[in-house]
Amino acid sequence: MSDFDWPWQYKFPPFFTIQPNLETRKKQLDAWCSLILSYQKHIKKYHLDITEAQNSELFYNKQLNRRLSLDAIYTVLEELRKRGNLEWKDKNRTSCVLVWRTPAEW
Amino acid sequence: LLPRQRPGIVGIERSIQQRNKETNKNVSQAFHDLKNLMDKAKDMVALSKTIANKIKDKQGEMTEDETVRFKSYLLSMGIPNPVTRETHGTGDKYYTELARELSQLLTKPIEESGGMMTLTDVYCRINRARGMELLSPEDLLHACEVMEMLKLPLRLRTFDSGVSVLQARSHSEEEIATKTTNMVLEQGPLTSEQLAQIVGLSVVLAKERLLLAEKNGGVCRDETIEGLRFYPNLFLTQA
Repeated sequence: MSDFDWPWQYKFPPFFTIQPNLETRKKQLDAWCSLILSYQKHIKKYHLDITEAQNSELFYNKQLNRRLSLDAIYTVLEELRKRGNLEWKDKNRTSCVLVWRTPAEW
Repeated sequence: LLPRQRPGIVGIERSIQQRNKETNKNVSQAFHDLKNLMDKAKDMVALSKTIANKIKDKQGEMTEDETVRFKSYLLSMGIPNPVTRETHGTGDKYYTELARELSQLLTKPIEESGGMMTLTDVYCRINRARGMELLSPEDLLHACEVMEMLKLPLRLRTFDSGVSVLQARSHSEEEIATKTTNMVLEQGPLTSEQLAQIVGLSVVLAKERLLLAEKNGGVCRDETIEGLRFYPNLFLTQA
């Protein structure tokens, strides 16, 4: 998957820390949401297992030695759910289904 | 002073005994006096409480001379009685005077050190300069609290983190935030320690500056086990 076109944010260390400034955080979450969606589209997968994803290149930038913490991953995924791109498969939120387009758009 | 010197060990022992007796007497007398004093103080405390209650009845008539005088009584006895005092008379004569003195002494050093000084630094400075008649931390805090009201060139400010500083009135936060942002842009990612070294400030204040800049959206953070580092906020500047 090396030919995936990573956004510039992916190489920006603060991207991996949830920002306390509201305005900044909004931009950051925007970027994360679009990154996750385009990444899933690229690898052609609809399912995301949280424990698995934690160590995947999506949330763990080895080059930068930065990873998104579990809490932060949930923050991002909840944001995706609010936007209608994500549904949890179980109550414990261990895996989820992602849709690139919202059901409304379909 | 000693009884006539007698030779030998007996003499030495006797003189030691004599001295012990003397100090014993002194000590017990001191304690006795102290006890009397405390008895008196108890009366004073009881009295001041009844006066406080009386003042409560006359609520609303603020900064009366009577209340002001009463407050200085409380101060001289060291009774912290803030709740009833705060409603009766704003601030205190002692504190207002102290605030004036502080602003006179500190305006210059604070401006020299970038318009801000932590309260602990102020405390060190003022007490080191005084040598005698030192200030208690509480006195200092109260004096700083009334500065705003007195329209002095300094004022007290507490950050979200709980750190209190004295700030020059001319000091503009916006300006500082922009300056800090520019510093980060020039120097690249910075920790508060690094910034402290570059601008010659204490680490605490450097951190507050960075947090301020973050609040304004100028910088953003990168939190790792290596520490907290601040980057230019590309989220907002880069589309």
